[in-house]
Amino acid sequence: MLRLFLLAMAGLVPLATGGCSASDPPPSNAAAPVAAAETAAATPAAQLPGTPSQPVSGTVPPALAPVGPIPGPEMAGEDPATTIQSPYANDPAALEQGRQLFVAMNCAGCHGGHAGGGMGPDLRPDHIFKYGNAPANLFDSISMGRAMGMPAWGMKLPPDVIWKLVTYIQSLGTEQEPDKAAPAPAHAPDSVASPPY
Amino acid sequence: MIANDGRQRSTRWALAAATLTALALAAPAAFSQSSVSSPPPPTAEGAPAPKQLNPLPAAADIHTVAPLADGQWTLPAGDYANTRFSPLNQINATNVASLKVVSTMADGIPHGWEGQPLVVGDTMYVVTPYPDKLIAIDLKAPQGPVKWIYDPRPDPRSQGVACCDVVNRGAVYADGKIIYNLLDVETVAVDAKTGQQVWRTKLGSIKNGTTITMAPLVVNGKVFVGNSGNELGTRGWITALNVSDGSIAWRAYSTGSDKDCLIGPDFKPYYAKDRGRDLGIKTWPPGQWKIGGGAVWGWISYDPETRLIFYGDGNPGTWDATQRPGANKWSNTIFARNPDTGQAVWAFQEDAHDAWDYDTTIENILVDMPWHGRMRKLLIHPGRMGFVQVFDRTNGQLLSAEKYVPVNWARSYSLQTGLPDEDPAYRPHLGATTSNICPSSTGGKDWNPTAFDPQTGLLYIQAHNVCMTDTPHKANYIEGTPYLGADVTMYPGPGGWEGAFIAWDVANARPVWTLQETKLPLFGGVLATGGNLVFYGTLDGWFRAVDARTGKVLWQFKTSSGIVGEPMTFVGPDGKQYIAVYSGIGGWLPAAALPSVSETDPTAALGTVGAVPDIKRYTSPGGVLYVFGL
Repeated sequence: MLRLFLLAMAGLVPLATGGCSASDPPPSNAAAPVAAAETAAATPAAQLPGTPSQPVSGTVPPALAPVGPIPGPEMAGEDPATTIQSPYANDPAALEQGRQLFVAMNCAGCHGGHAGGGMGPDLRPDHIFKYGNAPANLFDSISMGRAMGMPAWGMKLPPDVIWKLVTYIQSLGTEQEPDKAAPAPAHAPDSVASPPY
Repeated sequence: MIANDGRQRSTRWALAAATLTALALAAPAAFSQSSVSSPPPPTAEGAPAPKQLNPLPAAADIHTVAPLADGQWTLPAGDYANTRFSPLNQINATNVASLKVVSTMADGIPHGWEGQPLVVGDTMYVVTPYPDKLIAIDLKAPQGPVKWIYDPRPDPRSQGVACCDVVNRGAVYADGKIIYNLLDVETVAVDAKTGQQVWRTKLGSIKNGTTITMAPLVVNGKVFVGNSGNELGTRGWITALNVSDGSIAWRAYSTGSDKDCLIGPDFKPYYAKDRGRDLGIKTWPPGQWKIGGGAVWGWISYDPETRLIFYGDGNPGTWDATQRPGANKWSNTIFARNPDTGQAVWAFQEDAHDAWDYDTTIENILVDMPWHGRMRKLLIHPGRMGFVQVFDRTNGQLLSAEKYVPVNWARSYSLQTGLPDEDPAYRPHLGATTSNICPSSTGGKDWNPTAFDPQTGLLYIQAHNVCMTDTPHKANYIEGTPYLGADVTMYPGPGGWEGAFIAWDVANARPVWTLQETKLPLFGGVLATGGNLVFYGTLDGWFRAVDARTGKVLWQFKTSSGIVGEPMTFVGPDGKQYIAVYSGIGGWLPAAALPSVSETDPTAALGTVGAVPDIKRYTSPGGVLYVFGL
């Protein structure tokens, strides 16, 4: 019962909050306290729709939506966690925002400029996802964090932002992937620097 | 593993037998001529051949600081001077062809095994990558059984804030204790006999992106530890703890006020560019120094004669320089400090307002040798910026700076001002893409330490030839996450070769010979020995012994994984010399070998994937300690 309740919440919460950003108070740069306060630098996160509008750390998480998987015996039939779709699936604007958020929220620093991994794991389709790569699994990994060092972004980002990130991650390696990585050249031209020998 | 089992022959006999065997294997035709003069040994099959560039330097009166003497290895680099030179010569150019594996041990960890074992008395001590276990190995018993394992169980979340794999560069021995650092910002001291923890000190928090990966150094009852985390907006520091109880004696920050940086009346930098009050605050936008980097994650040297410790600190954060106008002191700076008080004596900032992530944490090698006609106390810094620099370590005067790999960010250094002559075409700016910057952020070489042989006067450098394209973007500080502001792609440099093992003539500031690597860079350490040998490993797992003078590869062995570890040598309880090295790919430049990194994204692992896109074809992770003997 608990599981069904949570799944129902997962479907509702993003839809209920997704359109709220327009009426939110002006961004406060909460996610960038030093950069904002000390250098008066505008943060990319603040310029994007759907980014946090209030310091939320320590308050009730906006993402009251753990959508599974919940440990326990496998349920008969199809796992509902795998059937939940991002509310932004097939939304090109959300996909573009997801890419921008991936850079602005420093996901790129850990997971690679184009999600190929580094400090954090590869998120591209050639990788096996330890915690699953269904949209609901990705939502949970971002929202709740994971034990090896993934922060719990549900305390900082509203669900619609997390869904946009999920949408971007799902586009990786597909034709829809925005801002694809330029391939590295075979090597630098001989003219740019001489070896000292 | 190195048992005195009653079958032991005298060292002299063993040496003679091994020599004869080597001769028999190496040159049967020559064997009958004489067993006294050795024919030149052949190049190991399939190994690169040396490219001779310049003659060997003339023999010179060279002294290293406090050289190794007793066959142990108790400091990370062997000696205080960071030469990684051991005078041991049982294993030498005439018998190395018969070097073979005498023992192995897997660490069970699929991450980069950087660093080196210690040998104290009849025990070897190894520190693993995260979870940073300390393993004591009995050298007296056959096959080297484990005596005990100290398992500190560091916070697993520390793995999520380690920029460049969950590595550890080793321990130091002092006062009956093995002392080393944990990824979750702790230093521990363990009783070398019993494996019991003596003390454990928390030095910072992973919450703001701080970790520790470096190997500490002990001088006069104090252990020196520095932090990591320049890619996460940490604030760099070096801290001295009392060896007796782990209490903190002093801490010097790399940014902030002179008081915080332990800069006081003793501070006399050689160049005007490094003079002024509170530069650690004034050379930053307001408050930016608090998250400005300068972490001290490399090697520390000590000179007992001048009573100074020497180290370099890391890059300023963010990688994008546009967001932090100013010289950003004291990032990318070599410091000389009093080990007792921490007070700075001199400093030399390598590049003001760094835009390339050229950390200055690279080793500083202390040597006394003739320089332009008179003996001088030198500090040799084979830096990430692609120059081998030579300083007078008593005052910080730059005596020489010559390129050892293709470099274009700067044309040269001025010995008068200490400033690099930058080429503005290769300085990246916010809002633009700059291509073909050489070297890449990983440098002409990275942390992987060189060795200096006082017998040849040569510095042996594991270099890589990698350049990069850098597109800076606005960085957003979120505590505990990367604070970078750059999209970087690396790739092989001009000529397309990836790495070179370079014998560098320090006195004449030029290469003598090189061994070129075409398919992968080099990213491990070097050992030089009194046996006229130099040892190094490759990223596809070859471990090689090279003639220190000619560069000829005399012996090689294919280990199980790529080598990013540092070879060391010791004398076992049986009186015989052994060589040990970790094999186990990982770390930053080789990160694409790890299963968690995709070769399809050249910007992955902070841009290094583009430089080694096919590394998974050549090697895969899994650490193994190898011990070799005759």
